[in-house]
Amino acid sequence: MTASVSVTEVRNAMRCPRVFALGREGGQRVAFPVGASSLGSTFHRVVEGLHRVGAAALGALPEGARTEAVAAALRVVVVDLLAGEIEASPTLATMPAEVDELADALRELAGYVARGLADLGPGRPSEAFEAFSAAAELEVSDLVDVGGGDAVILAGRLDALHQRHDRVEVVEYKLTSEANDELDRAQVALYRHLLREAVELDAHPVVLRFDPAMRTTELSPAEADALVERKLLPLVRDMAGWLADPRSAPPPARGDLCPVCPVRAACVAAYPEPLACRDEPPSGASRPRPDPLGRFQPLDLAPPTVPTQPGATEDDAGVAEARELAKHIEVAFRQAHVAVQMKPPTIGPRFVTFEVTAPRGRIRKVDGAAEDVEHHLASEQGVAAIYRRQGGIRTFEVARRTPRRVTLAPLLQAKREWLAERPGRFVLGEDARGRPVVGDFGDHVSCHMLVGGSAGSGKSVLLRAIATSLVYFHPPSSVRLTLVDPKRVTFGGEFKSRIAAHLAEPVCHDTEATLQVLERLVEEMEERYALFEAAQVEDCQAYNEQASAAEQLARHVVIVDEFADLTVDKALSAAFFQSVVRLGNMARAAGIHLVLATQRPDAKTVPGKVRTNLSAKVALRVPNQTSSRIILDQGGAEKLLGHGDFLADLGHGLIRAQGAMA
Amino acid sequence: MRSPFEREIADPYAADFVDLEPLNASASDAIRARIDEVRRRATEPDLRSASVTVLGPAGAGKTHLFARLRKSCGARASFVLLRPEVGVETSLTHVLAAAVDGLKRPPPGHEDSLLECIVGSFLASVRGAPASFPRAHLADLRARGEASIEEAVEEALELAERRFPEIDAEWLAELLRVPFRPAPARRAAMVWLSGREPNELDLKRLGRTERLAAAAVLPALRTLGVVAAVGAPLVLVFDQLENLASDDDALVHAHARVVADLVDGVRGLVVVQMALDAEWERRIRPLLTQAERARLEARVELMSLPSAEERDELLRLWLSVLPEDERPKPFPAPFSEARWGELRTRPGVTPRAILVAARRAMDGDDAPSTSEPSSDEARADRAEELSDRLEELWSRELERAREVHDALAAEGRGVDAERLVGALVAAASLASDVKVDVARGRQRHDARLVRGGGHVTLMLVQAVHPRSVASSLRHAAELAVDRDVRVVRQAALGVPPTWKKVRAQLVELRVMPRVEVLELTRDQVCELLAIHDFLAAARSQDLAGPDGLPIAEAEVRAWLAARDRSRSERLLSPMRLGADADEEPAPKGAASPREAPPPKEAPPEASRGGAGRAVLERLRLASVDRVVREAALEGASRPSVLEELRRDPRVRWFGRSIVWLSETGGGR
Repeated sequence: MTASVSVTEVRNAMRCPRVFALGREGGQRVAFPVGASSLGSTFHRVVEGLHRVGAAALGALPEGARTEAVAAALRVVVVDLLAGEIEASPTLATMPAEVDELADALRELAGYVARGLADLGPGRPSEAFEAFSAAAELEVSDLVDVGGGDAVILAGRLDALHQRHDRVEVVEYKLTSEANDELDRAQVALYRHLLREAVELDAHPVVLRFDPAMRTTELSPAEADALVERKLLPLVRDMAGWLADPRSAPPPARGDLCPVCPVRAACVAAYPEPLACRDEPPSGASRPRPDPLGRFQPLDLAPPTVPTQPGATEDDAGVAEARELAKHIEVAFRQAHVAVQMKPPTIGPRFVTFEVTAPRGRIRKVDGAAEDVEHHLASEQGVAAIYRRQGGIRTFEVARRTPRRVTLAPLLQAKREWLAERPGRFVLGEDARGRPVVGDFGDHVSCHMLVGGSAGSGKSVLLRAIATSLVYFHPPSSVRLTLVDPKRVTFGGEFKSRIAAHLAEPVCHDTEATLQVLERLVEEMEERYALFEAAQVEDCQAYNEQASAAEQLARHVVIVDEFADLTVDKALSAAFFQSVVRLGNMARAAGIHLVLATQRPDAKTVPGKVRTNLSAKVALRVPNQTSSRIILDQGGAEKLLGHGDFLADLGHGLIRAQGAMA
Repeated sequence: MRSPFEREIADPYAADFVDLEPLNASASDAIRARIDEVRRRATEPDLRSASVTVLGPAGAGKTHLFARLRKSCGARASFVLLRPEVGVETSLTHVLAAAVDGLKRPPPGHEDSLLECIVGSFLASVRGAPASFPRAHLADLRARGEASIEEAVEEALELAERRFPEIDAEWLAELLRVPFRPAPARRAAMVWLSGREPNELDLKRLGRTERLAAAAVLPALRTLGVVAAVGAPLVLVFDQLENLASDDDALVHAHARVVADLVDGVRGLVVVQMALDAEWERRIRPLLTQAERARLEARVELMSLPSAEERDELLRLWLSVLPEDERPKPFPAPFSEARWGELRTRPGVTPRAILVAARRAMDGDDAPSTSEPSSDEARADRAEELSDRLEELWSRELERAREVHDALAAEGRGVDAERLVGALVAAASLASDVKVDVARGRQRHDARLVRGGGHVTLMLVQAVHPRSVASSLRHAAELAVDRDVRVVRQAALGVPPTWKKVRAQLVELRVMPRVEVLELTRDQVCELLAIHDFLAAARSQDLAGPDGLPIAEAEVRAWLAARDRSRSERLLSPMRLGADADEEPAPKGAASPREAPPPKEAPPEASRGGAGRAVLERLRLASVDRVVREAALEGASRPSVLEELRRDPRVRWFGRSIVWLSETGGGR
């Protein structure tokens, strides 16, 4: 029997041959959650519906109707079809931001089709639509010779054929970012090839990408044919070989795909050589859609035991540096004629901590020599070591010459169960012992947060880590973010695109608009309390436990990167502080939380009423002790090292840690 | 250059257009001579203002004359076009605002604004430098630093006060400093100079606490007149004056008063009035007193229609602009010899009529238009053609209104209250049972909407300073004791959260039984403006039909009323009384005639057509957050939007977060 491969499998094999081979072996349909919208299938169903009913919907429009009128009629059709989809699949109602984007994309498509109808020349719009929308969801297939007298069936289902005045276009609709551009081009080129071979139709390949604004990518026929001939048909031949021997499939060229690979566990078990795994998933990684009950399956992150290289530890540079420092400390004590024993060091991202014991002598001797050791290390080795006495424990804390970069993914992975258990939980960074530092907005001691730190202290990075960890394991129906970014650099670009589905509204850059956002939140809080009263529950969590998936309330976290601008003008600051106080007092139970950050933590910007209401405090490096006291009620933050080094009080005592990079 | 056949109505601010200079040269020369006269005498104590009235039939080229003069004078004159608001008295405040707005435009062929030309010329003339290089002088001052600028301004103030004691030195000082200010302060200064009320922040930027006082408007115009006279004399062109003619004579007299004040009380102006000759003779001139006539008709120029040779020349000029391959040949193509022969000699043919006929001929319709279609079928065809044409013109008007609205919104401003009142008057004129009476004098942004024997008082609150808004709202609350009041405000202006007092007042007003607070959405404002300008153009016979002839105002009104009856009704309905309208306002202090005011729980008209609904009408399906967010731009609050959506039976809810405007009814 002749084997067959689908165009989708060719896409997958372009990413990773092993994914194709393992998918086939396990009999499962594998798709990378990279750059794809979780509403892609809904989009395609609506578009298919438009193909079915579009002509009838335009029946009332007369000949020569204006393009705008046609577009308006088509917009009504697609939006109504989308409403039908939401009705049929109520979990869509739990993804409002994504539905907004989908609706925008469909409205864009309606405009595109209307222009396409106008392009066909004068005539009744309904007739033009029938001509324009030549086919939808059309299945095409062809035999591909794979050598040795064998062949495989290459089959696919193309999105649409559009008739233009001078040509036919084979169109792929993509509700994705540019992350998949190469694959999309390949896919549409293959469809052109199949059409030409199977039905002798010379179609012009076009990719319509909705993000949600529409962008058109056209391939010239020559470009498409060259792509098929030089790259895709040879790949199909290779795929035939991998079908026969799955273990011969090579690893992917892009190691960054592994963290989001849906068959990663099977891959680790099946292929002996290690993977070149990187810490973070690619920027376009997106979450899958919630299940019919509105529950969300978190990404299958890589198991923590997979090493990056055989025999390598996680922090070789840190171990080497610690070994060297330990030697210096021992030598310095020896020179002071004090015998000490060094315990294994704790290697943190910014510090190495050495515990010193005096097994045979008196600890007072160690204390007496510590100052000399500090001096010796500083003058001879250029190392700034700090000797600490904590009860009976004596330690030297030494800042690392080359700090280890703390990335968010391993921390998310380490705390995945805890984070996924309840929305509102987040990760800040890693402490000196390498443990994740986490917080919970649902906890009354950390329901709102104040973050202070001067420029370059790592404040923006920390805020991004908080936002990312909040949304990583939860759908938009559970966590909504409102981001305020007066500097326009903190929450922009790639970061924004990654969390776009969770944004309650576009990132806000304007101070007056921020006030309006806070006012709306106060109104939303009151609205929620009315719901709680009617449902006779006490808080957001209790309400969600008894509400249906579509009725559940999301935790709403507002992150303001620089709120000092709001406190400059007297009138503005009064309104701002009033909203903060109201939200601070009452919003925890309503599931609304504030994270206010400033680089000018002075008494005017952060008055007492703000400090009182923001129970969780994070201080990055600040210019002086006064600023540190304003945030933490104690000094210390002025001595931090900057670049993410922070002190945090999340209601359980002060801890020092390094902020994670998101 | 753009094809002259694309637009039959001249663009007054066009930089590039076809012009047959000998045509109506007498009117051009008369105005130009007055501009030169003002420039010559600019520094003399006997500097005076001049007035010219230009009358002519529709399509004769009055607006074209404006464009021609503006282009030929370049930076040597500051042209300002003013058109009367329907139903609203012309005022000096309106003139000052238009004049200062006009100074923001660059003259044709220049990059810098007229304001820079005027200020640069004046400062240069004071210091004995050549006034014809204003930008160089300003650049020189900027380079020399702040102290030099202050010195030059002080010197100019001293000289101006000595030479023209009637000027307002404070206004002049602000004007002279504008080119040297940073952009935000410059914008703020222009608002203050225009007599409009700056917002709080702009007042702070200027170090002021008050807007320009009403009493300072005429001195401000006097100041502008003498300052501009040095470099680019101010030419105030009142166009479409036929729109002054109405049932109310007061509008004509108010205009005459303003022109008299300008000609008698301001030096260095050239006042040009333009109107349809027949309307002027029939409906305006008879109303003027001898004294008014002496000022308004000091010199009258009649527009002449082109002679046969001039028509030949016009056609040749228009065709010469077309690309070679599109140009019909030989002359008189696109006309046949016979048709052109008839057209070039027929009396009463205006340039616009020739232009439209040529366009039709190029489209393959060279036949002369018959006055009346003979058969029913032909009549129906003509009606359909006319309707299509009106639809096209209306779309353009609406687009222009949107541009105006958005440009103002970008500056953080709303439409001037007088203009909005004029627009309401125009919209009401389409409805059979409603009319809007506008208050006189300083309260001219208040109006009464009259229906049958009852009326409501409309208060347009377009101010951007909380103090003024608060004052208007206080006044509304006082009035609402014995009458129905509708407080109307453009939603885009919003009420910022920092205006605590205003917000509290609004809350109080909303619970008063005889008050409704209405917020006009962008669509509503644009539509009102478009109706106003469309009807004004119809009165001025500036709407040309498919045959090139002006479409009668009655036909335009009938079309607009038929097409937009429901829309006009909806625009006005929130401002009206219900069916149980009170007959007469009760005496002050008496109890309201209504025993029981309508319960607030009933869906008010305003909320049914409110901001949230408007957003959902546009999107049809969206998340609640998005609807709230976009409605908030129009000033709506989250609870009001949610309330509005919940009450609308057509809104279908999916969970708590998505709404769909369904034709078949909603539900949760």
